Amino acid sequence: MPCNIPMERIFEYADDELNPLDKVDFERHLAGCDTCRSHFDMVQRMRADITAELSVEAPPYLGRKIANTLERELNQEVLAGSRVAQSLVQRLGQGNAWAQIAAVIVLTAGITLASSLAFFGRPDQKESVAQEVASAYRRALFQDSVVALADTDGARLRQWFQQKSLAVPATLSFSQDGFALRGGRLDFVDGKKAAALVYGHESHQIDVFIWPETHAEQKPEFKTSKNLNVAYWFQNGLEFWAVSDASAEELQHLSALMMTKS
Amino acid sequence: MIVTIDQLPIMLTPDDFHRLAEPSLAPAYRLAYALLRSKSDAEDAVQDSYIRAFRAVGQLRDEFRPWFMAIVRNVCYRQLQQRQRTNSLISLEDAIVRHQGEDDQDWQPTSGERNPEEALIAASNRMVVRRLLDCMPSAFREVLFLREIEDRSYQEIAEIIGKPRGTVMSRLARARRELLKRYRREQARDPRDAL
Repeated sequence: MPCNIPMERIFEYADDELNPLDKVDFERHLAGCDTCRSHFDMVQRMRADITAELSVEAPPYLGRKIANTLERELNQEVLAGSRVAQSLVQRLGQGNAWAQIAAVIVLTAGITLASSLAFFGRPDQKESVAQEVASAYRRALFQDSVVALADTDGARLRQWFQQKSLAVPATLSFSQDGFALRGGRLDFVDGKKAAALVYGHESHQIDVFIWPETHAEQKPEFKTSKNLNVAYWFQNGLEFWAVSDASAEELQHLSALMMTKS
Repeated sequence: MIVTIDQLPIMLTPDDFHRLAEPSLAPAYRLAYALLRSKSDAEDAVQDSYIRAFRAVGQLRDEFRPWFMAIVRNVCYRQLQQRQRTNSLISLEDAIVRHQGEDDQDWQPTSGERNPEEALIAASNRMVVRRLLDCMPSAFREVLFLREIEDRSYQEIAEIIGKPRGTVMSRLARARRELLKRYRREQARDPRDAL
């Protein structure tokens, strides 16, 4: 006698989706029905085949490949590298191909050495902060806007930071010296709340992170981190970290302005 | 909009993010492959999803994995839409030709547990499954994936795909009925003809 149990009921049983009473009822039926048992066996075989077919393993290299892509997107190494190489060639005053190749070799060796040191060395505390500000600079570039408050008026921006309980120097605007204030945002660096000022200088962006720090006045020191130039200094109970893809000379210029006009 | 310092999203470095996302890499790749049925497209989709997730990690409010899998799903469906626009849907014939290349190894009997005839039947069943999965609409593959690989209940699947439970049941049933029909057809033939 043909069985009138629909296949859907077998699927639901196989998926453990029947309510307890229906399940008991169906199991009783299954025990006495060859047709349903045969269908159920085939469903289970088919499910095993589907599972086998869909259980693919991710290629072992995929995680590393993605991490590298992510890092590359952030670092924009090619752009930064080509700018440095270009300036190196210009400084050498030799526009021929061999000079360019030499510049690229020097640059590559430098980057490799710097990367190796960063990888194998144990970074000191300043190194660690340099990496943090460099990462914060990169991260901001991914946002819709690098500033939370776009205001070119230094006094208003200072007031905004003060409302957020963040101290910044009295003078923030240096547009006459070529550093156009674009605005500010709040950030978190070295475990501290930081005011982040954003300046435009030619085609570059410079971020200056500031937070309170009781430290004797100290003139700027320079580092590179993640292919960015970094400068840090202390003045009037504040710690300053400037970071940019602009040259170290340009950071030095801005830091001198901030120190003398504050 | 100005955010207060307390509302600032947690800032993650790429390394931090990679540590957070790495356990979800394998399931994400399986989902992408189930939907796209192409290994290279699945790699691209997972990579794209990673970068999108990194940029949007500030919006994460709950567990990482379901949030990330939803991103992977969206990326895959966007790719499928692009395929449709460029009329590059994979036909059954294309799928068969494709699988005669890179995946030939999978068709070899893998152990001595079965006798040769059983091994041939098993291999032909796998081929039936593979061909059907290749040419079935992605919405049907997705419910199969969520049920058989992710072990989700009908209700959970309904919530993930944003459709009623009844739709989940009908998609599962339709996909399985089609597979069973071809299984029977395959087994009615001499399995050696299938290879």
